[in-house]
Amino acid sequence: MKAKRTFQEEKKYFHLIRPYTYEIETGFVENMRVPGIFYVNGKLEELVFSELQNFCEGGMTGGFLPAVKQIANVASLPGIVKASIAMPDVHSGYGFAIGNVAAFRMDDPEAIVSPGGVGFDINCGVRLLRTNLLEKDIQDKKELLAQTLFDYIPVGVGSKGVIPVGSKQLEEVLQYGMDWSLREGYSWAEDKEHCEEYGRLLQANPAKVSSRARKRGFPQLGTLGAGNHYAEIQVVDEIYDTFAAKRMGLVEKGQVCIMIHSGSRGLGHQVATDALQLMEEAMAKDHLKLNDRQLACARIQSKPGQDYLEAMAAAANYAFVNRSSMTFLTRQAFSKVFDVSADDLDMHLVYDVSHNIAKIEEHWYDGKPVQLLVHRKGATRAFPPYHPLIPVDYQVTGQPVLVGGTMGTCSYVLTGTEKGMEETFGSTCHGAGRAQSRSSSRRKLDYQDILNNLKNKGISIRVASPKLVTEEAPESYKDVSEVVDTCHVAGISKKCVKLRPVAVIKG
Amino acid sequence: MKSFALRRLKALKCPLLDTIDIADTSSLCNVVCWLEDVKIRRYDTASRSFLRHPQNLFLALNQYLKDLGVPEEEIASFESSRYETLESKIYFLIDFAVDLCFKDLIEERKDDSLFLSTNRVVDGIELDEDLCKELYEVGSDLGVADPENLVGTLQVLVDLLRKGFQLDSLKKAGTSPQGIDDALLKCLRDEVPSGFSTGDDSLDDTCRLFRLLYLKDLKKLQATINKVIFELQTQTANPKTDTSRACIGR
Repeated sequence: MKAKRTFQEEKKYFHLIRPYTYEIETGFVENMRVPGIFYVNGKLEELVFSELQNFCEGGMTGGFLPAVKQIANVASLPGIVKASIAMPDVHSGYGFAIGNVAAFRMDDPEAIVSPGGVGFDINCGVRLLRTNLLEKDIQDKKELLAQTLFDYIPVGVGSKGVIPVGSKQLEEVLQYGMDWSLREGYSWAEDKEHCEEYGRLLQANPAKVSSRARKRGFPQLGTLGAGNHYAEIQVVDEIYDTFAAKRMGLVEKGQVCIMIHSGSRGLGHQVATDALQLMEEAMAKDHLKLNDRQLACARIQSKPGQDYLEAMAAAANYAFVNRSSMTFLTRQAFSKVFDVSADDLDMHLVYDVSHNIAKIEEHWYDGKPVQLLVHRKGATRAFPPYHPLIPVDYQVTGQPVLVGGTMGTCSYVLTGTEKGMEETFGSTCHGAGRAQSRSSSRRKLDYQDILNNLKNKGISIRVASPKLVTEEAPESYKDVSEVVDTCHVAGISKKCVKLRPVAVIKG
Repeated sequence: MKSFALRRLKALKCPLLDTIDIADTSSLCNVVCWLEDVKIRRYDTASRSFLRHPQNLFLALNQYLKDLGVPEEEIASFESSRYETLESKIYFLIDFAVDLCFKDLIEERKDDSLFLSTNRVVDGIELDEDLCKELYEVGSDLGVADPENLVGTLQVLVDLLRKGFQLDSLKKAGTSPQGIDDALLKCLRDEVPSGFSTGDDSLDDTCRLFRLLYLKDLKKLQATINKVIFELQTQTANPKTDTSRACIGR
């Protein structure tokens, strides 16, 4: 058995290849086929390396390997191309680090798909609605708005949805995604074009979703859930790119927006769990040997691989409908409080992004266009201007990227860049990224202090389970501004707008 | 008569459908007369008499088609049609009538919505009809006119003017045509990435302009799709969702 390397020995595998960009040399872990790449600035670098140092000295990182080890392990997976890439908000997760991007050639029979590379909350994502209200218009109605939103949107563990769904409807939700919401009148016609993949993954096959997953999905459609999911009323705090912001309808400081962060709830979790079980069994048959069993995977072209992709797409469609249903409820809530229609409040969808998903995309690789299965786990697609898959409204600016902050901190709207397309398969960060584990946060922080801090900042807050807010406190996360600045300076996305929260609804 | 032609006549609300016999020249003559009397109306009533004689129908149709502006060579091409010559000329006349009906419909709708007095009220003031027409023309030239929403068109025009004059570069440009051209070029270069570089600035600018023209068409297509979705929603949307500001939730 090999002796464990010291931290200094491990550090020899890291090379700063460009400002803010580290390469992890092959050999850092066994069987690496490509290098690892991660983007960090000085402050974030300290967090990444201190986690590795802690691991080398025998400490634990919440039951997972350190993020850099996980990035390197992903680089050892069959069929991976170019590099295992991590964003500045990277932190340890199940198998893949959260913030990890990895692409696999579709025409390589060895190439794999891994549920760990998508995450348990399939198609977890963020959407942003704009309004024509200004901060001064909601000042005296802030508490009422927060309460009405809290009343309208079911939140918290085990919450049940108010959108009536039978088994036939659930089947259609899984198949048609946002097209179902449009047909039923929960979405506006314009919503669809401002949604990643136009709100529907076409390869979805509801037949591949287990009855157990469906059972969990039935009552939860149109619910926010718990954990780091939230609905926030925000105001535009800073505009960095006036032209792009105007294209998004974000025209002045103080403009009120609503950000919704949620995913596929219990249904997506069950789809991932089912797939992991099947893949662990199939791996032995396919003679797949991995550095970490949490990376359980299957060949893309194999039956378990195809089944997972079809079930994942169905769960992704569920998530699109979930966010659309909450958009409907949000429009109803605002309409009630201001006694005007949502149309008159100009409550258009700016964009909807997914940050836990695997998608088949065409990228330039080795000087030619190649079909790749791009896993983005805790990373957001950020396509550049003129990419055919972004809506006509954003063709000149590049795809809007929504980066949610932590409870009570700022959020950002970025845009995709050509450099991001070249370096990261058109991907950028997704949020702040955890700095300490949930259990550590629970031990060290007091929920009452956190709620008081938010009140002192003038933020109205409604929480279903106050004791759980310690896990999501700003202190538990990295500084989102550092993360976003790193992406901006590295050129993989461009800062457009900064948003500041004025009311938070959480599970 | 072929079924497609019968369907078109039905759409035109022709009352002769049950009596049409393709082998009977009198029956076909009646169809031609009905098309001219009710739909095409090329001549005044007295001048139509030459069409009303079944025995002369073949020659009369040639004259009629000429008067409708059909080129000689196209009239001659009916001889080689896969249908009988007379039959193919009548099919042409039916299509001609359908085309006219569509054009009339578009004009009617445009006029209806553009000139409805309720559409012309801005901030409680009813705008003059001629002014509305001119505003609509300006909007059409800029590609932002919506015949069903004159007020909306006006708002977009005002927004465009505001945005244009807020640009520092335009302010500095003064009023000379060259100054404005230079300022617009700077805006184009600053705000519209070309996505690639040919090494020739003029060629890159041209590419930018082509990009914008392409996007204009794409936007029009997207707007049409949205309109269709919206119209379909009126048929499919769940009535429960139609309640305005209903209390939903806990």
